[in-house]
Amino acid sequence: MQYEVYQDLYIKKGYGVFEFLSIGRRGIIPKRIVFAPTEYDNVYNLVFGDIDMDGEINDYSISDNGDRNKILATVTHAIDAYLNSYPERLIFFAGSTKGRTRLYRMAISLNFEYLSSKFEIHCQTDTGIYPFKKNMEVVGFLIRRKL
Amino acid sequence: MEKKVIKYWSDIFKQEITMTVDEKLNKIDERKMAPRKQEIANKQLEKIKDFLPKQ
Repeated sequence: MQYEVYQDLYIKKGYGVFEFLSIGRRGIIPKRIVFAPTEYDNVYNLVFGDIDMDGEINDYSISDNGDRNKILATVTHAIDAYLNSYPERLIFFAGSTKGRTRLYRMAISLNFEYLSSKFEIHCQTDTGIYPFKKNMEVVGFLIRRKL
Repeated sequence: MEKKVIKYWSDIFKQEITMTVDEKLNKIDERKMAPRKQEIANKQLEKIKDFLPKQ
């Protein structure tokens, strides 16, 4: 896929945490990605956002740094690296708002042909979990490596 | 202490990405990050029991 990616990342050993710097028109903004275990075996929740002054993740912030696609590509890279190490795991992610979840759905739709060659992508909806379809009303996504 | 640096060739993006293991991040416990987000995710995932392969 033809997207720029932030190429210098800091990670926790084992890939549970990634950090990088978003560099754009509003300056330098530290970002963190965490793969946190859920109550369900082998299902991990992707939490992503700006790093606050107190070191916590703020997933509601709108940084407007002009690098949205580069950030989404970097998160995709983190998922790829993580699932390369843990191919048996499922990653769940959802936007912090409905608008962000729609943005993720659009980004997946645009690149679905390629992404679906590497990953199984499912949607969590109000009624259940279904294979990804464009324009589906979703609350989140489930991704695992295609074996 | 010498830093561990991983040079990762991304098949998806056709470029090399450098990942440096950071001692500060090694101290983070993922289970304790964003508890509110975890609570929401666990609730949203209630239907996953039917989706996951039976043990």
